[in-house]
Amino acid sequence: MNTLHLLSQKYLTGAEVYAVRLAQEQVRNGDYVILVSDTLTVKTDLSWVSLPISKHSYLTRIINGLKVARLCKLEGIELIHAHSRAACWVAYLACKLVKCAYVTTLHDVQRAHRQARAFNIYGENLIAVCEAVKDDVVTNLGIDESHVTVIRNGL
Amino acid sequence: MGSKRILWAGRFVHAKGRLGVKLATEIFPKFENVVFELYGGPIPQDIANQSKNIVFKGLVHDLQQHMRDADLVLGGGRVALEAMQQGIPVMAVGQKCYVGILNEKNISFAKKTNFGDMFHTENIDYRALTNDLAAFISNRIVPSVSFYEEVLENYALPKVASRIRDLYDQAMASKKVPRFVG
Repeated sequence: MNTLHLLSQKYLTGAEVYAVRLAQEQVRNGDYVILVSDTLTVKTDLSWVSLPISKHSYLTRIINGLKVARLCKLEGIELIHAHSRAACWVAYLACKLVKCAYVTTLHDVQRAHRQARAFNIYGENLIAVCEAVKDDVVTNLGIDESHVTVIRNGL
Repeated sequence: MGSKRILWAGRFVHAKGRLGVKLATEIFPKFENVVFELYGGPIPQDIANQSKNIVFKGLVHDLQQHMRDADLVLGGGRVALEAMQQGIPVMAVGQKCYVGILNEKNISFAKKTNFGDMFHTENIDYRALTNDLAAFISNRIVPSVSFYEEVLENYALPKVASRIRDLYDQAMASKKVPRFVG
């Protein structure tokens, strides 16, 4: 499978280590994988493209969405795996343009502001790294429980 | 008492940064005979030289190597897991809550909260943390690590990647089905 991992990273986090370790395992299993994020601190040989995913302005999100969609088309990406709310905005836009499948890993509890509750940008295939994260999105964001699967951090 | 090597790892920004600063400025200085090593960046320069028993190591790319001969690792999320992988006693404290020195009774809460990193509110019990740290340093608590192996089975990367692949297949399949049918 051809997969693009999308992260918003300005410094090293557990989400970055998670994505890199998972991507390395996917490459070992014969998949083609690209990482897209603001920065990448973990040392890796994986293909990486730098984009300002963590920037919140609507214009930047749209530009990022177009760039990621173009990258998906060029590289034959079949699935985008997003790892943060900011990444989900970009993944959501890109998937609308290139019809990729879409999976999200939630690494943290989410801010339950009105926009987040009104509009689900996380898709219907969500991974929560622990039960507390699943409880949070089901209770505070109203996401259907059946769309969230607890799969723990890979070591 | 002074020979124990205790380390904390986490980034010094946002909620985790607040935890790191609180440990470095209020908790660790109480145990002046123990050297605490703090890993993660950016090093908070304003507190970097306040206590002789606290050493800021900054960002390292081989944290597991540094953990190797530690007596206790403090941390949440992946830090706790990586220490467990090395069979080192863990005091699970993340950006949201304090779990405790891991044992067979609190491991289920630890897993549920990603070792203290996730909880519905930010509520870290620093009094309990300080008491547990004192008990560990004075050998009143001798943690067992014999249950770690069984816990870590669910975190094995091949197993995790395989479950994620199943979800990918599900996402790919649902993409092909028009919404009004599915």
